[in-house]
Amino acid sequence: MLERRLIGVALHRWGIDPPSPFVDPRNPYMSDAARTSSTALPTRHDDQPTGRGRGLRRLAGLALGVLAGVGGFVDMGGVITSSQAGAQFRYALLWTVIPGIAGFAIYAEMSGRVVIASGRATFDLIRDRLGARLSLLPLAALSLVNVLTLVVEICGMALAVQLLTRVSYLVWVPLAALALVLVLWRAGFEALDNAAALCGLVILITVVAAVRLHPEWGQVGRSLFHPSPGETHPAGLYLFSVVSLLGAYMTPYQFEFYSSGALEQSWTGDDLVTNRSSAIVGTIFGGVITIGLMVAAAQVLHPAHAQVRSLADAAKPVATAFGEVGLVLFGLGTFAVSAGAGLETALSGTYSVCQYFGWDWGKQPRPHQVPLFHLLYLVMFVLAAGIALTGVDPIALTILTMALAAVALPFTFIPLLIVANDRDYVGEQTNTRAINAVAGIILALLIVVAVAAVPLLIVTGGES
Amino acid sequence: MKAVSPERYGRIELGKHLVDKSLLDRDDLRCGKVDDLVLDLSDADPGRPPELVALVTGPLAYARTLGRVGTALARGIYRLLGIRDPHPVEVPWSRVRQVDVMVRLDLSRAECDVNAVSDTVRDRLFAHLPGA
Amino acid sequence: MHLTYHQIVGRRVVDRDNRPVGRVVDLIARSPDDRTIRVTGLLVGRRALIQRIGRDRWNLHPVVVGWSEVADLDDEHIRLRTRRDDLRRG
Repeated sequence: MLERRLIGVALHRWGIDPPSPFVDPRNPYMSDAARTSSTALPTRHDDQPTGRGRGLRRLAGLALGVLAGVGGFVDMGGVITSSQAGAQFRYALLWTVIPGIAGFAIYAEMSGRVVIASGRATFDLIRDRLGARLSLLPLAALSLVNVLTLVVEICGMALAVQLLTRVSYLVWVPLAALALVLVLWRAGFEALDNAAALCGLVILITVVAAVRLHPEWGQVGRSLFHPSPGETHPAGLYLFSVVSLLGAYMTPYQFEFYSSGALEQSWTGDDLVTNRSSAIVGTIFGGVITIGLMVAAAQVLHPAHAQVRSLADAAKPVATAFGEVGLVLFGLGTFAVSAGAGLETALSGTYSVCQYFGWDWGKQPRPHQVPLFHLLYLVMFVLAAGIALTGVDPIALTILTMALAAVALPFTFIPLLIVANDRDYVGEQTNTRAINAVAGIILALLIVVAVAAVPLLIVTGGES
Repeated sequence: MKAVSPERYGRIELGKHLVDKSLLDRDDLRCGKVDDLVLDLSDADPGRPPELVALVTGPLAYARTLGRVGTALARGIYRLLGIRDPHPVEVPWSRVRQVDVMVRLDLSRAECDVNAVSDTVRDRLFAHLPGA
Repeated sequence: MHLTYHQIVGRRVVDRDNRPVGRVVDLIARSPDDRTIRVTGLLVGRRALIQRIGRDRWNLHPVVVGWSEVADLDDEHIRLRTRRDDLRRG
């Protein structure tokens, strides 16, 4: 109400008659109404945080970013692809962590900045900018990968329980799906996602295990910064592994989850710094864990010419270093990171569809207030649990899904880049040249490996 | 407040500045997207520029833009939910209050009747679930 | 007669001699008074599409067809009363 009157006053004062109801959309700060009404329920914006509240909020923001980094960078996909890479190629794929970290941090920061500057959700902007038809492509790619990723994370939870109880994972699949649904339905999301991420930190055991297994540090360091082809394996398998690793580091759901989370917590301009630092800190954290997984697998599995065919195989390095205790910690860690990632994947899926169609969304309101938001993830869980229960090899599916994720990434990155460079939406907060340059390099790398992945998928049949 | 530039809107590109924007009702609640526009072409004088008379929104309006397959799919979903007589929602242009980054209507969401699907989901599916 | 935006956008435009001009990318409208919006022209062709996806400041001078140049609308085509070579670039 107030804004409307103020705009009217301003127009009158400048002696301008606006043609019809059109008002310039270029400056996103023009109308506060645009900002407040962009999240699901405007009432929550009435409480402006001050003093201690603001500090807490910033801390919460930092935590969101760090957790997104850890819980995103390392999930079931990360555990399997990194262990497999270490087993098959020893240190030869360590270099992929560097573009992985750079890409994740750059695009996470970009998606956070875009929603903070525009006050609007990612897919809202993408559809607005590209139109319903063109933007259907990124939405479809993201949704497909989201459902498959959800299968992977549910299987990750179920396999972790199998590792600890020796009861088949198929028994645990419906229970794992049900547990995640209950968390989202009862709005216990925030607390449980944080708990999951905290528990997921026990996966740090792999880093300790890697140290304890006495790797050749000099070679580890060199491999990180010098891409080298695998010596004993065909180039096809090597490239395919690069694809699935990149997909595992930067799974598409992370960016939608991260930016929508920022919007739900109504981040503002002040939070840009938090956005930047949390994107970087979280990613580096995740990168260290990934290096730990790969190095530990290289120490134990590679010399034995062993492959990762089950979660138990991936647990061997930790079990070798710490025995039964290591195995249990690894199982718990995998369960926790998969649960966290599963929640985030489901939310990412429902966020993006709701934003595309302009429906109410948000995890704070009760299900009866935002029915379609809740219906969408229910459908996703039914689909995902159904696929998992067909008994499809969960490890092969994980690696294949991560490769598909890498193929889908350009579809989400390109629209994001377009929006992040458009002053109509982000005002002064457009990408700097440096960010565009790095983002472009990562995108080019992704497109090259994604294009290479398609024939390689056929040649290797998704088996690694 | 500062950046109101009618000169920019001396020329409006309908696809860019209006279609696919988010709709908000008078209480700032979401009403979907501007899925299509209705233009009135004078029968007597087809050379006269068509006038914008309404915005169209809702799943059916959206599906129509995707062709026959889209429409069939949307009708199927409506049938599955048991909604009778589904129709795209038309909002007269006269009820549009302001267009900026969003399209703001001079109507309440209930008046626009855009909530058929979400209300049905709430009443028929969620009513029996605990904690909804 | 009522037309919808999506019935016009995406249609092929041909000139008086049936030579293709391109597809309609967007509709240009003006507001002669405070409330009414009238479609005054069509943005047509590949340049318009690239500019739509890219940036305004690329300024690719896409083809702009005034509504007065439209002779006939059928289900597939929009026929112009002018020749392709005489069209204006925006």
